[in-house]
Amino acid sequence: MWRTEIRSDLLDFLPRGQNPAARAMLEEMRQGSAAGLVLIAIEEAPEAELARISRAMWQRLSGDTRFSRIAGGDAGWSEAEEARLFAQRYLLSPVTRAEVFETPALREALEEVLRGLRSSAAPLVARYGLPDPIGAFPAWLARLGAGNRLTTRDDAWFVADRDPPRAVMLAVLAGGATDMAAQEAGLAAITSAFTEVSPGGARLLIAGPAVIARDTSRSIRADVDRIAVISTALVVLLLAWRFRSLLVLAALAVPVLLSVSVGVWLTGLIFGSVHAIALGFGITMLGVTLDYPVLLIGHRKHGETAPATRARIRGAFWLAVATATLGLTGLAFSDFPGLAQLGVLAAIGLLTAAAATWWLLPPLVIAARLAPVAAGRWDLLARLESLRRFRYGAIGLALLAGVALYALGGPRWETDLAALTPVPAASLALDAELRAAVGAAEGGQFLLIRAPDAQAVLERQEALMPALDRLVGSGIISGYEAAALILPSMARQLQRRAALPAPGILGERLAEAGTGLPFRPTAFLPFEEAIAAARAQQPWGLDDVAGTALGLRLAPLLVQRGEEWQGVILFRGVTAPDALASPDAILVDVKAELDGMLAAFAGRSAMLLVLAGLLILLVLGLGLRSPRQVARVLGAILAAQLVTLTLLSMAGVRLSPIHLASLLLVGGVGLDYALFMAREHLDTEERARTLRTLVTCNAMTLLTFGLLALSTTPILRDIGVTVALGAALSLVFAFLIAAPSGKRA
Amino acid sequence: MALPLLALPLLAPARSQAAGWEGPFTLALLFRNLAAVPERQARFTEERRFAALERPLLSHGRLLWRRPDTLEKHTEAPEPETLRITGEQVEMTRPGQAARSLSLATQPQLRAFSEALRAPLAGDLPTLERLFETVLSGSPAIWRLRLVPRDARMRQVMEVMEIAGTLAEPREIRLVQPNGDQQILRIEPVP
Repeated sequence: MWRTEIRSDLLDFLPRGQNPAARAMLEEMRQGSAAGLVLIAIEEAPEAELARISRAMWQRLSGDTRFSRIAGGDAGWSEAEEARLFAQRYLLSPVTRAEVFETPALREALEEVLRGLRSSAAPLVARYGLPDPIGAFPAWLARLGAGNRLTTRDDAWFVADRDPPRAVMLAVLAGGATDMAAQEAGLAAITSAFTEVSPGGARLLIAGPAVIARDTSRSIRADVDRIAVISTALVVLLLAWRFRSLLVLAALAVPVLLSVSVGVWLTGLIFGSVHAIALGFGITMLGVTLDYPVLLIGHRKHGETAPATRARIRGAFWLAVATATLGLTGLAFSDFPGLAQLGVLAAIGLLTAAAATWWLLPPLVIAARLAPVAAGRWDLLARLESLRRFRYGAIGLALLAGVALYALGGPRWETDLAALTPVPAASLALDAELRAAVGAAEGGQFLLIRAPDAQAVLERQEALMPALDRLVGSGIISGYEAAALILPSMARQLQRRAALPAPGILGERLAEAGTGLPFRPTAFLPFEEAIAAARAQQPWGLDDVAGTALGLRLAPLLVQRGEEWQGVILFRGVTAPDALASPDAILVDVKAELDGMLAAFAGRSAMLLVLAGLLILLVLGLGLRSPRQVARVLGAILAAQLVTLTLLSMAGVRLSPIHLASLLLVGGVGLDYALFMAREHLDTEERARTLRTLVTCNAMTLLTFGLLALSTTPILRDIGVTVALGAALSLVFAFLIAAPSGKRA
Repeated sequence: MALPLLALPLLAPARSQAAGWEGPFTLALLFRNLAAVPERQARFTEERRFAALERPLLSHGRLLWRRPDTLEKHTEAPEPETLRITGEQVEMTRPGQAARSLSLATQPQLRAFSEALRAPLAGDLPTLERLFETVLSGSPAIWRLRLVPRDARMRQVMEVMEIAGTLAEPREIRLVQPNGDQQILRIEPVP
């Protein structure tokens, strides 16, 4: 069962998008370039050592197929590739416009080359500057790395003006965010590449969505594991004290273990993977299935056979199972894949545990010759039951809670997804810091452009670029990343080609521009030849860069999705998200979209609750056949839920989907209590037995979820508080409200 | 750009140490004498001849050497620039521009230039002989050291480098590139 794939990105706890932009966004978040980005930092060593480590890591990782890109230090292409790009420079470069070939502009260019020849960089200038005095190639290169705060030293990237030094690299995971296993393997490859290059005292830091997903899953798992161990130990102790028999303990464990393994296994089969939160919460939730065997064994009288006990509690037992399962099934139809998983996992688990209790446990009890359990002290029961004189007080309290909740404006829904993120704050901080340094696009807002083919996407991006450059100029964004910056559309390339002067004209202008400068007439022959060659060059399309470093760079920014092509424009340093809107592209504001989804969820989940409530009412009506009994059971449940909700709201808690699932669980537990309490015509011994059994069940729930409330993961803490509070209230109200009145034995 | 004047008294080049020049004139003898000078200051004039240019480019400035491995070249005119080689690090600064920094470890071609200048001043004969074929001619009074890179990639940027000098003072460094471009550095020690 542990081979079930476990996912832990929070995307699964987002609803499936209700509109095209929302769906496109989720798709982009799962598979887009932003999702696979890994930011690598190396620090705590002298600069030269950091550079050596960075270069060595680059060499190890650059051949790894798990990454679509590894960058750090240089452009990352071979000499042959560079020669090919250099040859194509006048069609690729944004510098190529008719006016740069006018005499005054050429004069300035030549003067700059001369300054270069006087500098220590003279050998470089002689090699690159003479064949390209207008600087077309460096201008195009600069666009690829624009926006970062990095300086290159020793073929490694360093964060500019940072002391102590920090080397930085970038990796893009090939699989996007969908393939958790591949992501983990990629991250592990980075870590082992670091350790293999003998880093000494240097320290490796990695950040990015994949890292955050991994850290989240680790911290949740660690929390869940720790709490599971402690709470299991406490529950075992409690049961050992209550039943005083190891055999009973073993028998009790059978349905629970079965429910967890069957639940996780089937959920994995149905969904293909199980989200870490769903798994953690689901397993904890299934802890309450321990109630079923406890109910059966706890209700067995002296001298009664197990099947006889079973027959006695049949009605209440199966009604409790059916209603609890129905409540959770509501989750299965949730828009949140994570919640749907949780619902299915819990529903399957409950049914499995109930079935195991019903059919497996009695033969076990017989085979192991388990002794029945004492019913408890009867005198105490009478005193406790006298408390039922406060029944109307309890009802009044619940109504008061309802009024208070209404006065508070109803329960508040969580509309900020960030509050749901169980991500360690340190991971988020490092991520933001490295992104700023590397100039990596943030993914908070992006523009989507869709068109029937790749060239149309590039052309529409180019049409947007003047407006985007104005945004950069006015400081609304510090930069942007788009496919058209790397590979211009063929149309744009052809425009540039048309701007190139004829050889004769260029020669004349160069001669005029060079007047008074010490260049020989032949000095710029390589330049003239390159321009002449470019006038006959074919523009490059996607096929011409496929499989090259440039193509890899392009791949995440321009993708085919079904019938159409989609280009994404990512931004850096956004200060005013609203200003990014454009009539020619879909602006996706990730946070606004997510918050909108959560808001929509609040409305839908209210409907879901009502629907689940109606179904439960129907089943209760059919099962109990007594309106008074139905009223008592429902009254107890509603009172518990109402008071829980009111207390949470008064404490300022905003309800998330996780709270909703927790409340449904409380409802299921509460139904157990209420249904067993609501049974009529019971003798004193049986009532004492029931009360004692239910208190045992409740204590187990409180132990488990009370511990969860101490968890460090906010999401688990929410679950723990809600369920522990709700379960305690459920028992109280079940005892006071659900039990039949006026029957004192 | 201005380098603070050194408070330390400058050691005069070793004309007075003629005692150190006894015996046959070998590279080892020359290097022992070169290495004996812990710190040097000099003025230079540089002439660069490019195939692309009709006339040579001239510049001048100051040179500073400090044991064990720091060489600074401050070009004062016509385009101010500072080139600083320390250890494995080369840094280039031009006014109004960010400093550019490179490592000799990753730039074999740069290493050829740097070590050809630096190894003689440091008296580091093993490094010099590892990188270059060496030919020494002349006498202690007028000597000439010819360096040809052993590595083919280095020969792409440096065909030959010739250092001429008098006793423990290098006076002229001439670099010839494969395309015929030449850089000639003339050195005048500051007394």
